[in-house]
Amino acid sequence: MSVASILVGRSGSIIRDGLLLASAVLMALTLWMVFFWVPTEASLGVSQRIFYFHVPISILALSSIIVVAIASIIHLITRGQKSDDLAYSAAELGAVLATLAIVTGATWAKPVWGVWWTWDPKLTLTLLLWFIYSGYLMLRAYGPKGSQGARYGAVIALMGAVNAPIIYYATELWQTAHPALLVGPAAESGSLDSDMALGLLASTITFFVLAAYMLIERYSLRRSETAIDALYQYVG
Amino acid sequence: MPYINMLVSTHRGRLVMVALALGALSLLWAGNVLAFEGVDRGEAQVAVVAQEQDSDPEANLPFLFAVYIITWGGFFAYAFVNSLRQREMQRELDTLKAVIADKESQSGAGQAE
Repeated sequence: MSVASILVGRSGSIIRDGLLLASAVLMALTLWMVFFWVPTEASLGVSQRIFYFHVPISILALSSIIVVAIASIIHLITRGQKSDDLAYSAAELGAVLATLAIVTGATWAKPVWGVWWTWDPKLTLTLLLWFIYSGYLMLRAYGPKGSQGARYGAVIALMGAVNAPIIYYATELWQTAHPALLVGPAAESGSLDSDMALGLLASTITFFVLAAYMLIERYSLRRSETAIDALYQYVG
Repeated sequence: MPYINMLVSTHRGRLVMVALALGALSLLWAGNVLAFEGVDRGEAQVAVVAQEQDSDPEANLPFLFAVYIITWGGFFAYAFVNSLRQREMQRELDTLKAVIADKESQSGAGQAE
């Protein structure tokens, strides 16, 4: 039994319910930590708590395009429909996450920088990622259907995957207004207060569980949509 | 009541119920945090806890709540759109079932003749 069939089958329903329950419980815990437990940053005040929403969502937005690219590569190699459905589902979720990352970032920028938006390299590249997601979804919606559309989409996804590490390292590559890296392989150890790091970890895990649930739900829906399209073709 | 029973009995319905519960919790917390005057975390945390500042450290609370609402609004809007798609898909499935049943009955009648 493949992983895909487990996720959309009867046992998948249990997994999805479990993920939904886990995300609800974890979200309650995370909200308590964010609003009551983590210390308030000295210079930024309470607006720094936006960090616990903005950073995990941004990480997920970057991760999603990697998932789209990997699934697209698998599709290009195997020509399997399931990998293409996964790529499409991850792209759609990624578009939502990229939108949220940009909007939450702008809402944080206003009190800290005094402007909603600036053409900072990291921000501009994130906007480019949003356009890549939008381009992918528009291509799939209005472009060629079937395997040709999936192949074109894979090319866009690969462009997005190239963009993802550049976004991550943008603060290292250029002088930017955006804060330096606090998480990931290029972050300096001890750059974040231990309680804040714990709060960020909890928040990141929570959003990952929620995103996993939403991805599985969307994938399941996409599989059904594909099956119905096939039925339409059968009926004529 | 039938609407509530329908909500509880479906998977999407359970999602809506969880969303409502989280929304209620968040409103409760929002009320508490608006009255929030700092976190008493002891001397060890003093280095990072907000210190005397020129401006009010809580002046930017509306931005924090805006992010909170936008984040949840975004996730729930996406979940809602997906539930609408699922409903549309169910409608299409019913149409297809009817078309296939119609075709089968026609072919059955043709064979009988």
